[in-house]
Amino acid sequence: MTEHQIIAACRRGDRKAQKWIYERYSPKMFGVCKRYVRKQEDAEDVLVNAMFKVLTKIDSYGGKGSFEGWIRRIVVNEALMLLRKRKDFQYAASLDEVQIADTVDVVEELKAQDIIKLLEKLPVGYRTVFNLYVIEGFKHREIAEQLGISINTSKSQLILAKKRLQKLITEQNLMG
Amino acid sequence: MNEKDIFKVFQANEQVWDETPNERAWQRLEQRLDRHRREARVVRFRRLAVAASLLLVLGAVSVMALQSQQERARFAALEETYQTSDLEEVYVTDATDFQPIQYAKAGVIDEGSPTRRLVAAMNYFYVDEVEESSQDMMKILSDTLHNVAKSILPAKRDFTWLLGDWVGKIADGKSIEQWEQVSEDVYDGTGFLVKNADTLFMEQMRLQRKGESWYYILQSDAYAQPVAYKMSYYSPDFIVFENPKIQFPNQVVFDRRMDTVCSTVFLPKGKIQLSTAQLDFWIQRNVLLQDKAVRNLWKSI
Repeated sequence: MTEHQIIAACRRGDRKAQKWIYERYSPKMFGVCKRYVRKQEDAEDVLVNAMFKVLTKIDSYGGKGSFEGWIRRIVVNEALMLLRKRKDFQYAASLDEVQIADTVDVVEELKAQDIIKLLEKLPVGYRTVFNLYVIEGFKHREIAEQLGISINTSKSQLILAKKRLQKLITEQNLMG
Repeated sequence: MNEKDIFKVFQANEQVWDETPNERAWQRLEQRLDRHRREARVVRFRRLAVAASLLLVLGAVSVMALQSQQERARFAALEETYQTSDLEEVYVTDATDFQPIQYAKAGVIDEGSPTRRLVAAMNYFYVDEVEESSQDMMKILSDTLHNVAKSILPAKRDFTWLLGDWVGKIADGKSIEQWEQVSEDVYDGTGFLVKNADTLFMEQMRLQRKGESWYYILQSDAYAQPVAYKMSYYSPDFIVFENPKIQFPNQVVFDRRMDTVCSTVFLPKGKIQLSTAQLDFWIQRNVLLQDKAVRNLWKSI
């Protein structure tokens, strides 16, 4: 069966098809959740909520564009909703206050766990904007709209996230 | 590492976050999907019930309109052929479903006894048997239909046109009908067959309102009990009564589309099947055709 057929079956509420889609995409989508919400239990909540919407609202997937991209958008939205609910968002100062840091040479190869840990160490505001811009590929205008912030705030958050990461990597190298 | 490299590192390593979630995540999801399926069914059912009842209302109205149109067409054709057609052979069975009648043919009728018998017998009414259904939907639909019927068939009907004497021609005799209004809700009719000043045959009819409905009640020796037909369609010159339990007549129609003539038509469900005795009864005052029995009566002044 092609994925196209399975999606059709899912539209009819076929449980096997639903499970197939879940099993195929949940590892990756769980990863998306973890990037945004950090805590394991929260990530699981987001995943379940998002996949429920995916499977029950599959009629709104028109077939245009990638299916994974459609799922991902739902998952990211669900993650953002949770963060909004938790009122975790605290955005740092505006662009003016950002100071240009010196670029630092770092070890080229970063281990996988390091990468995860690095992102986890970022405050939620930085981390969210970083995720949306760098990995999800949104533009600042879109991020600003999604998060209800100004474009400048989005830009500054990204720069601050970068600086913080650089600092963390440097510290790690110095220690390691 | 410059800023572009940091971005690239994260972009290139997105998969490090991939992880198969705990089995309980699927279990939670499945529970929610089950609940969603149950709730969707209820919503769909309710929506269907509403839609179905609306459709039925529309359907009932249009079916009635269509039926009347079809009946008119059929009767129009009949009307044209009636004067010239001969009596056709009717399929007759020896079925003993109906009780055999003690059918008095000859002799002058004693006026007293039939009337008394009539009063006692006329309390029989055809009763709707709606299947008891535990589903709310049936209640919704029947209530809706009932309300529609009520609005389409208001209880007050004018049958004053029926009152008086009517005459129809039979071979070497006359068919007479006399209608009188007994009360606001009851009209009584008597039919005679008269030959050479002898009244050879009599039957009794009644139009009665019970609750919201009008009934046409037939009383004769051909049937063990009086039979009631419930009005299912009304217009000033075309009225239909029905009893789905009776094979013949299944429907009784008053057709008054031509002035001065009242054509009473008796229609079967399927083919007309009568016992010999019933056949005797029906041919007295009616013309029996392949698929209907008709009597045409003219108002006698």
